[in-house]
Amino acid sequence: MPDRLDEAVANLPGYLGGHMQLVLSGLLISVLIAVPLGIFAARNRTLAGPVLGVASTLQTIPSLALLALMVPILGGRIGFAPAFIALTLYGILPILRNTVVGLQGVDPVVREAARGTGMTPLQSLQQVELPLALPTIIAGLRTATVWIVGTATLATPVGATSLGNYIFSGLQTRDWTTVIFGCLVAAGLALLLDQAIRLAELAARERKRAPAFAGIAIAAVMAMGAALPLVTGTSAARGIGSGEGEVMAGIEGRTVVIGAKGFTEQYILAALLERVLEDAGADVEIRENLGSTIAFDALRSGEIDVYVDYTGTIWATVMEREERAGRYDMFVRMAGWLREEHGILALGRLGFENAYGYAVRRDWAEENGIATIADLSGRSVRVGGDPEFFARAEWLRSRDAYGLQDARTRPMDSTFMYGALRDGEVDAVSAYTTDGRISDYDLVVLDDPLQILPPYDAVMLISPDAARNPALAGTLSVLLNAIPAETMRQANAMVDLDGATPGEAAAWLYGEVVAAED
Amino acid sequence: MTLSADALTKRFPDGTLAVDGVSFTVAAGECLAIIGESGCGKTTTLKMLNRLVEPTGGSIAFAGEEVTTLKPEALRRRIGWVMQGDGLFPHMTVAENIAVTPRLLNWDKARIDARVDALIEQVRLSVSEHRGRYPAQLSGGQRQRVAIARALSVEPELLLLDEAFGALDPLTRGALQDDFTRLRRELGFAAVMVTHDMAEALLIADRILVMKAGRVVRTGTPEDLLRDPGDAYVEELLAMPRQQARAIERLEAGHA
Repeated sequence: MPDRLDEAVANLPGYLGGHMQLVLSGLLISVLIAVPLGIFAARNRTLAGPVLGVASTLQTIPSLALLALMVPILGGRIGFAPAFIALTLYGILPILRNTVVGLQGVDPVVREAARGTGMTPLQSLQQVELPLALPTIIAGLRTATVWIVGTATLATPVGATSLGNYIFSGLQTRDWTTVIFGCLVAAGLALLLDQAIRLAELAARERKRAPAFAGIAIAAVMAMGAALPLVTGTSAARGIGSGEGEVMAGIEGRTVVIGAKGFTEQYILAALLERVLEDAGADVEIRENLGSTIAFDALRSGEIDVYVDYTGTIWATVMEREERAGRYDMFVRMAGWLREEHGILALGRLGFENAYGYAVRRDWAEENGIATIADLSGRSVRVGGDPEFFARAEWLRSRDAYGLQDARTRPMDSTFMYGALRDGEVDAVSAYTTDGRISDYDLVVLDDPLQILPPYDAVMLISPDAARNPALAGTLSVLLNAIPAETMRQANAMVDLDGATPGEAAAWLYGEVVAAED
Repeated sequence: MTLSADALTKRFPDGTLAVDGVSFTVAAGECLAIIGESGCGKTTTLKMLNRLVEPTGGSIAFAGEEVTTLKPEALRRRIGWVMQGDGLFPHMTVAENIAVTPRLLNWDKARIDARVDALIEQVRLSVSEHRGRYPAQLSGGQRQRVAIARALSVEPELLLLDEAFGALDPLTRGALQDDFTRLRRELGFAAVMVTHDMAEALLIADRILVMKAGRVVRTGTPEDLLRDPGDAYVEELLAMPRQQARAIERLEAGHA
């Protein structure tokens, strides 16, 4: 797939640069925190235990969770800040631990010799203890480097650009070329940084010039790489909603930030919105692969200006409603609530629903005489679904209402669940009703006679800031009720089944729903 | 008078009375050996002299100054210190180890270099061969020579030695003891050395101070002690070197 590779290479400066900014700044601040803290802890033995304990506890938090938690902690900030803080926290432990161990490992005889020759405690630290502990500290730094380079790929769902963009997008669109490309670049970066530190240490220890030059050369290349996005990025961008208090008019020349969660339909819709806005003369930035609630938090805080969400998602996870509501009723009540509580504008429905539905293989359904969810009652069926689904009220309620207590749940990434169902690894999956693979794999979505599964109307949401500029809503209104479910399903199938890029699918969709109206 | 200690006392925070009212003087150029078995308080006494251990009672005067009025680091830069197991800095070369205290005193580079070379010669090492080596590349005896050179770097009036020759093989120890005596005669510094080896004390020291359980039991020249031990414990300490000396005499007589 040369196209995919070309696109991956084209994205390299931005992704690699973003990744290196995260890694280098996270590493730098980790060192600045961990080394002094380690010196302090090594000198106060009563403190060493608790300090190492706290750092070790931080390390046991799964890295993706630590990254995601930073977003609400920072009041909905997405992008560099939460990723940078989480990576810094992650880098502290190995450096801190090795600083403490290295300093405590200095022979007491040598420490006494330092005092005996007339060194002050500070001179002893600078001239004797730190130099002797340095190899251990450097080993910790190298561990931290490899960890941070790896963990930074998980910064993508909190909206920071990194090499993880390759991995998350590639995984969702089943584009293994891109996934492997991202992995190779990340692994190469980890090895290169590790070697740079090793050479620098060698140079410092043996006072040799050659490795020092090599280390400095690598560091210089790294710094240039980290500066890439600054060079290529647009400067002096005017935000769509910038300018406190005044009503902003016009869209031309303004920067609109479009958010997208991490699955195919979202990538396509983001690219579609981009086309429509660029038609109107706006500059567009896309923040893809945001976690589900992270996207909403980012909209609320104005980090992104617009994204597409689904009524049932907002209803259950943001409004925390448990009662059922009809399709139109839910949209109206959601729109009112968003405006009152957060000042968010629910611009309107795109026209299709991407609901959860229980999908099964057609031949299996016919063999077992299954037509509705109720027919699964009492069977020990294996149900696959994305991890989010099993935490949602609709799983719990459909389980109770249809008697699915004997079902065994198998959480998995949504990319894999259709294939798992086709291959007979599970009997049913919590499918997305617009997914192109439903028809292609000869699956059927079971009826929901009790109407337990809520509606999931796709809606465009606009941030409080951006809502003050009527031009944005005006421009996007061309998409209202423009996309039928079947059209969306075809666009998704182009990417998931035919190997098209989301951009290509968006171009086709644009031709279907926008250009056709002209 | 180079040094005078009066009623020195050390009680550790856990209540142990390690040193109990020890008094002595060291004249300019004199070598005093403090001898006693492990735990008698001899090393604690020595470390109080350059305030590696703070006394809890008594006073110490060094070159006419009460040491508690000096900053500990300033005091230690004026007193040479040779410790058990050399205590060289493993990440520094021979020259760098010797130059530590002069550098702390901000000597200029030319003066330091000249001093380092002179000291390497004085402790009978080779400038061309040993100057740039690391401690790990030297034998135990060579390391101890470097440690003595380091202690002498700023031409101190007083050297403190804590079991300085204890960890060496007998031949090396003998050579080093001879060199130490020679250096002392050439350079004229005073020394306080802690040892558990009565033979070493008898051969090197001008005066011997015998300690037991934190107290002084006897002070005197080697001749004084040999003539009149004056105490059962001192007698006991003298017994071993005497027996060995007699045994060797008998053997030599037998062969003759």
